Amino acid sequence: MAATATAARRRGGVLDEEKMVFETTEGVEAITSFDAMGIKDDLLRGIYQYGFEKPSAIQQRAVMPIIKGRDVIAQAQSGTGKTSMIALTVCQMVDTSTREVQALILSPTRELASQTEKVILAIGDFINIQAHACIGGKSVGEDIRKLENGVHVVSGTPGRVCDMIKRRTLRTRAIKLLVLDESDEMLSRGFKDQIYDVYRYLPPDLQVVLISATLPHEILEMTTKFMTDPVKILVKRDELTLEGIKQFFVAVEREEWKFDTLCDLYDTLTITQAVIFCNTKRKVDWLTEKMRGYNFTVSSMHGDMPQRERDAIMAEFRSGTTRVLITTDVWARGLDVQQVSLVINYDLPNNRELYIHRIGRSGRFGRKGVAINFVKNDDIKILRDIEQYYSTQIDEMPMNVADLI
Amino acid sequence: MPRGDGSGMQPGGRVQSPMTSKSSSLNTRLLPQGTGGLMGGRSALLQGSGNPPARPSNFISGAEPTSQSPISSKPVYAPPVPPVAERSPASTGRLNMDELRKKTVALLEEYFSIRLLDEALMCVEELKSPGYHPEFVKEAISLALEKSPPCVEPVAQLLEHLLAKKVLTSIDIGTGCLLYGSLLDDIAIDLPKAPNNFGEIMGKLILAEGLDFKVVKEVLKKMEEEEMFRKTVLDAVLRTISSSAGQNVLDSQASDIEACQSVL
Repeated sequence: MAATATAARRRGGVLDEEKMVFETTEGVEAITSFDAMGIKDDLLRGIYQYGFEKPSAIQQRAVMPIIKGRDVIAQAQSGTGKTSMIALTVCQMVDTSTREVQALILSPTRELASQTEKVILAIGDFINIQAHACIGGKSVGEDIRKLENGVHVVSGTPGRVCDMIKRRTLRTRAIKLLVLDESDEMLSRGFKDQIYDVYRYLPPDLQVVLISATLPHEILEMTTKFMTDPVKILVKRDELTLEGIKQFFVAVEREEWKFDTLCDLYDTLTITQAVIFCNTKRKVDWLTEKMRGYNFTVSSMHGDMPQRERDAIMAEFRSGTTRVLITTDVWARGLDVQQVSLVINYDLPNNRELYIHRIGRSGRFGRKGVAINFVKNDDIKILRDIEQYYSTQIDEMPMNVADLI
Repeated sequence: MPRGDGSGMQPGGRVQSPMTSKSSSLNTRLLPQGTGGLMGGRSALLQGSGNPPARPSNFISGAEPTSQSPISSKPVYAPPVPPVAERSPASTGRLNMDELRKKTVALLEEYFSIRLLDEALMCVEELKSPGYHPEFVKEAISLALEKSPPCVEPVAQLLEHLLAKKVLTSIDIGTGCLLYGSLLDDIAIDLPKAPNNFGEIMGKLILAEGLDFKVVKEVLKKMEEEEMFRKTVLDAVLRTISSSAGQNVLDSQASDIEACQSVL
């Protein structure tokens, strides 16, 4: 508990403030199944085919008000299912019998704009939705062709969309829904003027949905200018905690001894599954080869790999076919280490945040786990700092560590 | 707020500026490749969210020394034919552009995450592709500026470090800046702060003697569509230099700075 409290306190002054100005509107109900949302049958098919089974917290609360035509402010971060919430509501609200742009989604980056488009196309497969992401580059000619052919939904950055509206490539007269995704991020990237510009081109009876992780003054100002009696929804992402995780360290005098220690621990690692973190991809490669050279079975993953290969490695790890995975922080971000009961920090992470990302658990998984840190002499200070920062306890590894896993 | 379909805006389509080289001796060699960079800087983390790569790569399988792992039992694919081989066979070596780009993005992502200069240096050396270095510079700037917040200082430090260690030459840096500059008209639509941040990076590189105002002028000329961007870029270059006590630099290159201003 102490760890969560401290972590929350450190980051948390801000969080509490946000909570004070922003509460979920009373009367917002959580609808816990897609079936109960009154979604078109063909869209429902798309949702299930895409692999969704149950709506996430934000989907449970935001979908209904949006479908009913209300303006909605949703305070939600990435990782809460907001992209599919946007896709779902857009697909539900668009009339696919006319080929005009009816929904416009603004995002801070080309990548997010493309990702949103892809989710829309995927879940809207059976309703023949036509969506297009305006992302510039070589595709400007393609943008014009696609828009002339007629699409229902456009997704893009405010700058790009504004540009297309001014060039009259993008017709705005039939737009009835504007979605501002990651609004705080759009503002911090310098898109304020462009967002206001785009808004001015849109028809007067416009429904607006605004999504933002934080709600600084500039965002609230935007909501008062763009929105009428908005429904407010607050969705908090699960906070990571070190609670329930037994943390140990093994002191090694020299870097080379880490390898010997790891080999000694190998049998323990394979009791269930383990992830081994190194700080660099070169070290991942080196360690992987060296382990294999000693006939240990390990798999490894980093960014040089083609996506297909990474997916295959992840699938094998998830299914339990492989038991030991060596990786770096950058490439572990997409990895659900929540199910892994043993994490080894072959290298200590370079900062405190990475430590909790590597070994912390979020409440909903709340399972027990063990973390073992390899520390060289001068690393012990860093470890003590981490220990203090999270108000947690990191003891020297006992001989019977296997019994704890 | 007032709304309604705006009128009186200029019609007409955007014409992509042809990437042909002009007067500079720096850009003639590499600009034709620059077209590959139009989507430059796309985060490696997101690369796979859409389409898997069209071609299998032999990189991983080739790197595995033994066959005890389930992954290594996969067939070893033949390496794809490098598309740029005929252009610069010596410089790109075994790796084709796709692979180089992937490795570049991976090493940059790692650098921006852990900030270890020497680690990044080793990774660049391991590419063994000096001919690719201008693209590397462009990619580094591009990726740095797409980060939130933008990694202006870290990317400048990295390029300075690689220059000091003679892994990069000032020609690589200059050409890389030209490559990025030629894309800036388009990039800035999706990244409004890019012109200013790019100017700051160039200012830092000038202070590190990796770049001079002759190149800045060529870079400015690459921005053909938005006059405003040129001014933003040059202002940021000058501001960065003068705020770092670089008055002597400004003095010694006064005539070139004037030439830059005449481009505005």
